[in-house]
Amino acid sequence: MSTADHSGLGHWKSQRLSSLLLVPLTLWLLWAGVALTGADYDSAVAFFRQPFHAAMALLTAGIMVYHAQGGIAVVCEDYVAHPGLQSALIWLTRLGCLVGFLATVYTIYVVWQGS
Amino acid sequence: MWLQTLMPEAITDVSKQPDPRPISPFLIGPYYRPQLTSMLSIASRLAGIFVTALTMPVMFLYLLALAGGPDSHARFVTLLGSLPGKAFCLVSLLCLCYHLANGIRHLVWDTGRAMSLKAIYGSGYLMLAGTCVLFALVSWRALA
Repeated sequence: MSTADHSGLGHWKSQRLSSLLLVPLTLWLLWAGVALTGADYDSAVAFFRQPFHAAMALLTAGIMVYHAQGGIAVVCEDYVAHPGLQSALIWLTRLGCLVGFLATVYTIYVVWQGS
Repeated sequence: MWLQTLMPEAITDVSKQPDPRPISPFLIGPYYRPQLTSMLSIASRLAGIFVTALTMPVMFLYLLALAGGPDSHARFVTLLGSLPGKAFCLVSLLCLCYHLANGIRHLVWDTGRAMSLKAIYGSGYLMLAGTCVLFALVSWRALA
């Protein structure tokens, strides 16, 4: 018997897939964080001009943002009962995630423009 | 009370419920004794919320500061290098390490493995140890 008005299987699968991809991507993120700690402008630009790190930054931002909005949606559905507030928080998160990903794309574009 | 504000229909008084048994360990205080399992689980959500609400915005702002040129980058790095900035970075790193370690635990569970109570406690302690090791490996530069 199903009481939900839609299937949750798609959400379940997409969260597992993004989790799996984020295992190596988070390790890269932590490594990048260590590498960029205290780095001056030129070293930071040089870091993101390397094709590997540019690709990893875009990939990590994209998958992370996708995983985050899905996770926050579940938390809001579990703990925020007010329907308006619940969907407002979920959509605010989605908007922030989209802006964050676009910011990453913009930065990689700007950094590569100068090369 | 904060609970009624968040969940107006939640019945917090046990005596008013027709059946006093809760359907899930949502209300850890009145119904369930805090246990390692429930604490590690709620901490994983809190870590995810912290990363999404604070760490990710700061990371994206860092990238925008980098795109803005040497001056804005230098200003942002100074901010991150201040005492509150360093504290924020350390908490962010801890949340990322913890959420990653517990996430791997969840992925193992999703294959149907390590589901016995003994294995769940074992993997809980293993995950905490893994979090500590990973955090030690990545936090030394933020501490310097």
